Amino acid sequence: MATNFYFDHHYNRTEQNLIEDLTIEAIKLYGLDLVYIPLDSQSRDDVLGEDILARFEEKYMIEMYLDTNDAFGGPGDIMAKFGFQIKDTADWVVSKRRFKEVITILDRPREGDLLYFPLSRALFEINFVEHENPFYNLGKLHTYKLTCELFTFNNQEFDTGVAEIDRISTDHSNDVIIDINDNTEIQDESIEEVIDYDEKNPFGSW
Amino acid sequence: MLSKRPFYYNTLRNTVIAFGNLFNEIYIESEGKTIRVPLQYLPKEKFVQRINYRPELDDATVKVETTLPAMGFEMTNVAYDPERKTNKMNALRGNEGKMFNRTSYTADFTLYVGVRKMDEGFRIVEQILPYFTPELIVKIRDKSDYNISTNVPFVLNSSSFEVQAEDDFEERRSILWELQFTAKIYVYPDEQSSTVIRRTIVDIAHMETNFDIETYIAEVSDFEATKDDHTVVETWHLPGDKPSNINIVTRPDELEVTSKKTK
Repeated sequence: MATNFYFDHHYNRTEQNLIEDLTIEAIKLYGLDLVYIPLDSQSRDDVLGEDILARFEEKYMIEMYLDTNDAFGGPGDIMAKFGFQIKDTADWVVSKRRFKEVITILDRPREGDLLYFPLSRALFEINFVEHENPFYNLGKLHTYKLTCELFTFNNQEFDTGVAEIDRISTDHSNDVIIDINDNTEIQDESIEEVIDYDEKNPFGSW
Repeated sequence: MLSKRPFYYNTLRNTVIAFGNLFNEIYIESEGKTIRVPLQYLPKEKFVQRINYRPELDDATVKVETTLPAMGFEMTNVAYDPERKTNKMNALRGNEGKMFNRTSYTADFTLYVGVRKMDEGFRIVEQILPYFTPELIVKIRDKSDYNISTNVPFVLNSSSFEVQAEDDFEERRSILWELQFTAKIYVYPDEQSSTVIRRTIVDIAHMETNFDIETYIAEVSDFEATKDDHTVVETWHLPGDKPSNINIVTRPDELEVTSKKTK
């Protein structure tokens, strides 16, 4: 059975545009400026389905609305298997039209791209892009909802031109983590006092 | 009562260090760079970790969740190993004392390998597995003052990994390798110090009347090392008489003769 054609709730273009304008205005009023950093995947392993070589070299400033306005989500700062971890999550809402205007190289936000939130110096990774929430206001989708988690640094190259973002390669490098974890202590103690490598070193060569 | 005196030989701590040292220098190719995989002993104090990672809360460092790849390990269990038991009375002798035989134990370890990419996990684990067949023997100086170094086998019991790639998109994929090891170690009991007899007292009595005739006391003066000269003070007590002292300086090898004389 067809819907009643005397009531047009889903195809009125002017009404849709009005709602979209109001949405953009609300995000500009109550939102925050973020840096959108697209992932440049230079080499991909198609067997295992993961990037071998990933770079982040471009940046776009765009306004977004933090859906959880009182605090970040997730368990926060925790002690995990590999020491201290910050498991903050956040859902960011961005206008579809504004996204196309600002980030011209992309049709939509992509999972794997990054968002830098300067206010708390947090670097988020987009886990999922929800495009149907809110669900068809007057028959049109106006926003993307980006489900994000703090980024896990994996030695990727950063060359965005923003100094504080690009410094991540040195601030969170493996060498820094090794220093923090007192990794060298294990090595020094064992060689001096504990392990007897006099006769047979299992890691030696011949 | 096990032992009134505290004793501790760092045996378990040394085993932790030896285990950590096995995996301390693993390098892999990641994102076009050669990197060293961080390794740490996991059950550290929380405040230590927190202060190490965030000495300043308001610094200019960009906040990320963590850095991977990374490895961590922990000792999970210590259990008696009856298969390697030897006679308890086989005493161990050191420079200053001796002790009953050491006791065989096993210490279980778990090594965790956290990676962002499956490829990195393969690169790390492939550098570990070839050394364990299924054991790798490491010589540990577990009682250096007794001149004891022990070949400790670290046995790889299992290597498994868990990939959380299902469920919703709230969390990204995580990969965690878990390698279980058992170290066959020994723990040592308390040391029994053996001291020199310095004073002997002999009461000489008449066999028939059982009256005391005289008392002989031999006393060795203080000395620091057994190689030093000793002064033996011999004292004879006759009933009703004042004691008469005779000082004899003797070499250590002569001391034994003097001792015989007192018996």
